Amino acid sequence: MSLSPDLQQLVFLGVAVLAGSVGAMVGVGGGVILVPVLTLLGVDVRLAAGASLVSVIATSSGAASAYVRERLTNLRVAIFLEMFTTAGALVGAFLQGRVPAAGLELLLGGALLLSGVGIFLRHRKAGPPVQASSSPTAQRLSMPGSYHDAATGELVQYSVRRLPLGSALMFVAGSASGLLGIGSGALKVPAMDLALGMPMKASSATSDFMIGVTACASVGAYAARGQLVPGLIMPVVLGTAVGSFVGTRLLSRLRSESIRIAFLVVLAAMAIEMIVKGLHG
Amino acid sequence: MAERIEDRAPPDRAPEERLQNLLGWGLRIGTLAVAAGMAVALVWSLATGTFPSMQSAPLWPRASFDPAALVLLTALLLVLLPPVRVILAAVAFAREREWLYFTFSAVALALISASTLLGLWLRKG
Repeated sequence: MSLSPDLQQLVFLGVAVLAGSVGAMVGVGGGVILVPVLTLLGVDVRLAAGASLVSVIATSSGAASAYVRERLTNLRVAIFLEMFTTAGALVGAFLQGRVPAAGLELLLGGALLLSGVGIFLRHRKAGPPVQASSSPTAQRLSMPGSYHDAATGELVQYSVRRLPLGSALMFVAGSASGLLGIGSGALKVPAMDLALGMPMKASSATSDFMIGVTACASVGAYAARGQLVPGLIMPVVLGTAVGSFVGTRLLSRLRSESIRIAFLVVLAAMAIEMIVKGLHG
Repeated sequence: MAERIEDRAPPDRAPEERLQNLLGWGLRIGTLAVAAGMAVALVWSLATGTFPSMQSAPLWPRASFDPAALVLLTALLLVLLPPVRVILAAVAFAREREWLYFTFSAVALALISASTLLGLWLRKG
C-alpha cells in the first residue's frame, strides 16, 4: 500500500475498529474479518495473520474472564479440547511457513465460507439443549455441566457426547487458526454444539476460553519467524479492543438478525474475493 | 454404561471458582499493562511523527526509547495471558488432586512451548 506511514496506521486502525465491533456484534473474534480485509488492502497475508492472532488473544481474554465468572465456561471440556486445538495450531503454524501466499489466500477463502456456515448454524439452532445421555468417557471425565441461564432464570444441565468427533474437529479448527491467523471461534462453537451436544451459551463461553490458548500456540512460531510487525500490531490491537467495546454496547440497540445477515453477505463476498485473488496469485 | 444426566451428582465446581478468583486480578493487571504500553507507543508516535514500521523489530528495547520494541513487548505480555490462564487452571486442578486434568493442562502448555521452539528452529534453518 503506497500510503504515508501515519495514514497507513490510520487505515489499519479504522479496519481494526470495524472488525472488532462487527466481530463483537456477531459473536466472532474479528480475525475472520481482519485478515481478509488487510490482505485485500495489500498487506502480506502472513503479517496480517500474525497481527490478527495477537488481537484475537486481546479480545478473547476479557470475554473468557467474564464467562468464567458467570460460570458459563465448562473448564474441563476446555482443558481437554485445548490439547487438540494447540496440537492443530502447532501443525498449522508449521505449514504456514511452507504454503505459498496464494495458497494461504485460497485456504482463507474456504475458511471464510466454512465460518459463514458455522455462524448461520449456531444462530439457527437456538433451542434448548438435547437431554441425551453423556458418553461413558465424558461421564468418567466429569464433563457434563450446568449453568444458570440469566434469560430464563433456570438452571440448565447438559450432557457431553461424541468426544472423538469433537476432538478431531478441534484439531481442524486449531490448524485453521495457526495457518490463517483467525480465532476459529466460528468453527469451534458449532463443533461443540453439533458434535458434543453442548448448549450454545456454554459452547460460546468455552470457545472464548480456548481461542486465546489456541492463538498463543501459533503466535510463538509467527514471532520466531519475524512475522509480528509493530506497525501492524499497534493499530490492530488498539482498534479491535476499542471496536469490541463499541460493538458490545451497540449490540443491545441494533437488531442482531439484520447485523448477522449483513455480516454473512460481506463474509461471502470476501471469501469469493480471496479465492479469486488466490487463483490469480 | 451411559448414565442419564439427571441421575448423576453435579460435578465439583471448586476448580472453576479458584480459577475465577485467580483470573480476575491477573487479567486486570495484564490488560492495564498492555493498554498502558500501547497508549505510550501511540502517543510517542503521534508526538514525534515516527510510527512503528512494517518491518520486524528486535524484541528488546535499545539504548534509546523505541516505540516499536515497546509495542512488541506489550504484545508479548498480552500473548502470555492465555498460557497463564492454563497454568492457573493446572494449579487449581492440582489443589483439587485432579491429576488427569492437571496432565491435560500440562500437555497444552508443552504444545504451546513446542510451537515457539519450532518457530525458532525453523528460523535458524
